[in-house]
Amino acid sequence: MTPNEIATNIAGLGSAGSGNITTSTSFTHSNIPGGGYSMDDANTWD
Amino acid sequence: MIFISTCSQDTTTDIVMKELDADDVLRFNIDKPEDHAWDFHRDGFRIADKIGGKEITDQTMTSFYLRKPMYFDRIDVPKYGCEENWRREETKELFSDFFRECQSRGLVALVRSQSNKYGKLRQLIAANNHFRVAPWHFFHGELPDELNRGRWVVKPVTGTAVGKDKMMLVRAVDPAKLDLSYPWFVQERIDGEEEVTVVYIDGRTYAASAPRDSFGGEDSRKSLMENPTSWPRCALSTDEERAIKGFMDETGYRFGRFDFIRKDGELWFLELNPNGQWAWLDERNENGLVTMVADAIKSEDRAHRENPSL
Repeated sequence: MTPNEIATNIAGLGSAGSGNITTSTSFTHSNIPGGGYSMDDANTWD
Repeated sequence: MIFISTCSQDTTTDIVMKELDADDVLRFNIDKPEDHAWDFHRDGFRIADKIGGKEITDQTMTSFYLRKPMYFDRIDVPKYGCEENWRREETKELFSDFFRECQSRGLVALVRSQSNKYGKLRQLIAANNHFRVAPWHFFHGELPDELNRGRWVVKPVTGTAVGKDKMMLVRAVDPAKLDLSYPWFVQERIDGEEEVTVVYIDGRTYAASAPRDSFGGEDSRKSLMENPTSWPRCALSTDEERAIKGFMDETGYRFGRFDFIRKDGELWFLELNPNGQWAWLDERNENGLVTMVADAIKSEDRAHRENPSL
């Protein structure tokens, strides 16, 4: 299996409740750990 | 004045700003350059918020709180580059360097530089000294023998997208089926009773938990994206508090959000997010988490004001 076969398709995952991960301005996905699919892991330091 | 470097989509900043003195904070959204003007020069600097009509200078800045200066609207960068990518990289590097300069002057609040970063590998090694840790392997090229037995989950080392809308989340996997030409990170599946997340705020903790079966034993983010729910606050034992403090002392972090699984009454370490999202745990500040973080920022800011160094 390759990474592509294991990865999760996140399109539409955020459509329930307030979890719209694609909303770009209102950032309504605050209920999601990480505030979205990449906010926890993003290297915003160096 | 406190300078917060983030992006326009960072709700955690929206929430914590309510607990800070809004007049004494300048929020910089790196993805909205049109909202800002800046000038760093040999005698100091000035950063202006053109929408709010505020500015911060070397004379007024007392603290730098790093949040999420990042770009969510990804762009296709041609092989030889493009203007928008150039703009982003130039801006990102300038404000990263500004953060490092503020750190060297002792002006950062709560979140320090990652110059001695503990990534997934170092975290797991350090965690062995403080928590239960399930067996793990980062491997490539050959299948480690241990992976022929037991149940395993595959995990990402970074938040890098695999393709359009495709992210590597935690998933159960048969390691024998993995394409060994890719680098993999797997860990033995832990069948615990609940997932516990702990925000560590400069010596204080805020813990919350959710039953493990509420998201099928896989990545809790997926089920929360599908069905957002809040996690109720939970207690930590004295030993758990001591272990968490020991890990933070060893790694040097003063802030972070841990993920654990509690199994048979013990905490099994998963990871630490040193600057992750946390406000979703108490969005309306009903349990005081936002106040705890804001108070920690304000406390450091008071210390900076008493010992100005910029």
